Amino acid sequence: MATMMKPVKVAYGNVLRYTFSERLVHWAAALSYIYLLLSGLAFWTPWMWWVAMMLGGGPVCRAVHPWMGLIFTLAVVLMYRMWLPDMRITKTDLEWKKTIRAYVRNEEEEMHPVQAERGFARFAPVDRFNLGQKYLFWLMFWGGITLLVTGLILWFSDYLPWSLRFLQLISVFLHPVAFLLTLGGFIIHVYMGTAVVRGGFSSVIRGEVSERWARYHHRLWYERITGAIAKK
Amino acid sequence: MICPKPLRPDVMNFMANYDRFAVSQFKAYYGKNATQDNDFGFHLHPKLPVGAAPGTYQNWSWAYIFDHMYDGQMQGFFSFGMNPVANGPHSRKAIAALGKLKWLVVTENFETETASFWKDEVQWLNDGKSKDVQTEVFLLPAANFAEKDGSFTNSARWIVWKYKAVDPPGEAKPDQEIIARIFLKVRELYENEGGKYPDPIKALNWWYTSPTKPALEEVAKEINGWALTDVMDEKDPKTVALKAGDQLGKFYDARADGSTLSGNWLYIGSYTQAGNLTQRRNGADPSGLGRYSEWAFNWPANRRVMYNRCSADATGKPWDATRAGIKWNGDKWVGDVPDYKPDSPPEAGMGAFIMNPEGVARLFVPGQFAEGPWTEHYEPMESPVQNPLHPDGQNSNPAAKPFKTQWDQLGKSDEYPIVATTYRLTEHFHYWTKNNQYNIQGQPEFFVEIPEELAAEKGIKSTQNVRVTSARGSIVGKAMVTKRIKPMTIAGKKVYQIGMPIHWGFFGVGEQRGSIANLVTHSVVDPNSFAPEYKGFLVKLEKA
Amino acid sequence: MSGKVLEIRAMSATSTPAPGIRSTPVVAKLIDTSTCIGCKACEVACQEWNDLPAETTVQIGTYQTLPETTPNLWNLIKFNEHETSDGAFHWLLRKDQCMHCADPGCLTACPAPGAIVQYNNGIVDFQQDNCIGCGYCIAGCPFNVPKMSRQTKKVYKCTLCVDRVSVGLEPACIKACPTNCLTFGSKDVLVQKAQSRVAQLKAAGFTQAAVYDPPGVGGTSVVTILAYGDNPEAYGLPKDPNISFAVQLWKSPLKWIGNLAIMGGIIGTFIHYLRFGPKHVPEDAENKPMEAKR
Repeated sequence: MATMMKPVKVAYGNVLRYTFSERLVHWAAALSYIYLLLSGLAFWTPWMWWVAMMLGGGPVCRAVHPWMGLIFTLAVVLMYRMWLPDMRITKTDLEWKKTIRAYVRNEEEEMHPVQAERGFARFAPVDRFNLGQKYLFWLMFWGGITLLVTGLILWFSDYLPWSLRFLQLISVFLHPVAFLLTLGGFIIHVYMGTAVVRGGFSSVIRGEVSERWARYHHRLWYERITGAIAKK
Repeated sequence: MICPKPLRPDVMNFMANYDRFAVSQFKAYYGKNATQDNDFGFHLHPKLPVGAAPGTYQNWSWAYIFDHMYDGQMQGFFSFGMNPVANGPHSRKAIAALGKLKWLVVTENFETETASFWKDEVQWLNDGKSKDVQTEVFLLPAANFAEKDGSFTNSARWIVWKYKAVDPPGEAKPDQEIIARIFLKVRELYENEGGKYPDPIKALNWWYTSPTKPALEEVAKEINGWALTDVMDEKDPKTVALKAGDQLGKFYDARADGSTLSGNWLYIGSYTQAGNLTQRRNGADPSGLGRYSEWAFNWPANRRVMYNRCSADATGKPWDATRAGIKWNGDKWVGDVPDYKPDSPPEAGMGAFIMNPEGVARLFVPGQFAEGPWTEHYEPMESPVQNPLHPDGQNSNPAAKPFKTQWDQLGKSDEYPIVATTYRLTEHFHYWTKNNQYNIQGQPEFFVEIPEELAAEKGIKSTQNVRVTSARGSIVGKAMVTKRIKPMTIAGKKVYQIGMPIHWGFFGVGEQRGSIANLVTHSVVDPNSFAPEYKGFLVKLEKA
Repeated sequence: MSGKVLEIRAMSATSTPAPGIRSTPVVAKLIDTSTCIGCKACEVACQEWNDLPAETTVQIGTYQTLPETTPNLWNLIKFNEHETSDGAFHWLLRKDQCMHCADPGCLTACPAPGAIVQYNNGIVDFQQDNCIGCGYCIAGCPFNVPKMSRQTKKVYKCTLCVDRVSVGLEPACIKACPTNCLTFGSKDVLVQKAQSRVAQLKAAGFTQAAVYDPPGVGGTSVVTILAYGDNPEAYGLPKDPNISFAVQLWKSPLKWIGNLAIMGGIIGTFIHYLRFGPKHVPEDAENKPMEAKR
């Protein structure tokens, strides 16, 4: 439960941050989202229609897009089940929120190494996921639900009776709105995970992180894991 | 030949020319076998049997045919492009009557309820079984209207030539070929084996270039007719009016001495030396009245409006200058082809009704009209009310005589309180469009139109099955509940009417979802036109 | 495609102008509902001209062939039993099909380039080979016209017989109509004809007779004469049709805002990296998971 996995201290100073199934689900979500994004961009604007041509043509994209949406939905549901306990917003998060400007400006390097070792006294401590990551989770969750519901209505628009037309009109508007919002989250998430936070990308590929990385970025989680291990 | 004599001084009495036309027709039928000596073959010609009362003849109109048939008076029946079981009144009587025939020949484009009256699908209506039917039935495939040339004549008397569009499928043949082949075979049998009375068949004039496939162009020529020998002018007997072989051009070209031949005098002028005038397609209309005098041919004599002498006053001036029929121009009548002596001046006062020996129209028509002359009101044979004009007396027309078989039952309004009528839909034409997918799409199933109030009384909703029953039989169909039919108050009584479209039966393309409306109608006919009263009769209605 | 390309005034989902340069008069089909007898010759003529199969139908309590047009039945006579509050009863018949709007909602909503075209003469035509079957045209149309085929997954509708009109013939429905309630020609002339018919109807006591040529969609190439023009809903027509607000919002402001936001977002991350770079963390806190000797 909670910190989901059994605390595993992998040999040689690493800890396991993401299990195999977590990584699998994450990448299922990521890759399906990328397909949905690319095909969706082609439907969104004629400037991007050429993308559909690369993905098999217009009718193929239109046919595959909703099925891919179901795969994405499934991945989101699984992530919800896996990470819900870790994604609850706590008082500590709200403390952390006060320093978000500094965080965005990458101002942790002004920390004294000793303070850094103790895990940024200037910043509230972070558990398994920081507030930004939690915001992304909820954005993708609610965005995903909106995309699913509006997407289903758009998928079967020829089955919709004329009296329920207002549903179709709402969906035509809300589906791209949800897409834009999740795309915003996606851009930030990919940017931060690959360029800004070194080690982030490999953590979700290989699953392991060094103990020091864990202590630095997610101290509360690290202590819980190692405390649990120490208790063993 | 008995032709009417003029009964007043200033009359044309055109029917005095009847002998020309009758003789010319016999010459068409019997050719060389019709001569002055044998009354032009009058003895060969089929005639109506004499009736019970002196000077009368039996009625062999539609409803009477089936009554005689049921009475066993007929051996055989040819039904060409007709579906009597479905489109005639009182289907069950027709089915029973057909079962009395020794043989039946049906020429059709599709299998019909008549052609298959012997099958269980139709026999069950009379609680009968296919195995008990003794009639030998032949179903011959026929070409339909687009698969043969010929002509169409409309109710404005325009005869329009039409051309074949496609070949008939399989072994289907045009009617004239079917008739020709049957005729030639029967004649051959008579010649080889003799028979009871072969004379008319053997004497029939069958001159066509192809005896088995008579060309309708030739038949059209024959119907108009031609001169058999040189024909002299009646005013100047030394002048040849028509050379032998010339097509007749006008009514007066026909002769009563056997020198001309004409299949039907009304059509004289339709195929003259100028050619087949029914093929004309000149769309000009100088009159502006829609006359189109050179579009096709209008019988009689291309006269577009009959009795057009009445369109001008006693001085020859049209009553309405904007709609001039004919007018006197000083020498003759011009405009439409005058239905009048062309050069008889207005002052002569010749009677406008040229077909009557008295030259005027009739109010009292003894010997030709079954009732009159006073106006009357009669209720239909099956009426929901007592005749308000005769509360204790004659309800319906005393001259209309119901038939007397076990099938001919009439119902009363205490048992059958609802008025029913039958009608057509634009999506179908009679009973053969149930073989066409587009017609079926437009109207797929038999239905019964029921007023909202009546449906509410009986708890009937649209698309529920309902049963309509008369004294003749019953049918089941889907209800169509509508606001369009309102209840009526007749003679103080609330009366409902329901309606049934006629176009369904048991054979056609795909699943046939309908029944025959004529199962419930009766065959009492109007005493003058012999039209059956299947637009107003009584039924009862219930959920099925 | 030939010469018809030179007549394309608008195409769906293009960011560049349409190629049409020919100048042709706008055509119209005039429907006089006051003289329609509901014979359905137009329904069948359209199917026969376009070689469409007949639909399987059942009697559902009305003379109307089907509740709506379908991929195989592009025009449909609607039979409306209409009772007014004062007890007057009318059986209103109206030929229902694509209205060929001057400002077509279907074309506006369609995301597939060239799937919907509008010609200079006003005809709006689906090019099914470019259609992706998304059904957005159904959302864009205020008249419930486009119908999706379950087999081909494309949408179909009346073409105003563009193939016949291109060679100087009138549409099939108009040719088949026996009462002349359907006429075809240049829209200017037909609107005048419609106005004079409306005047005639008014003189005959139909005081609310009107021409239905809704401005909310820029006017239509199908012009309808209604005897009860104050009540188009009684004929199954929307009172004031236009392209729905949701579609307009999506296509105009949302599209621009969205595109700017996406570009802004991507450029923004690049600028952020230039300015702030990655997070600098102590060397030993870098995530270098040590490899076990395996």
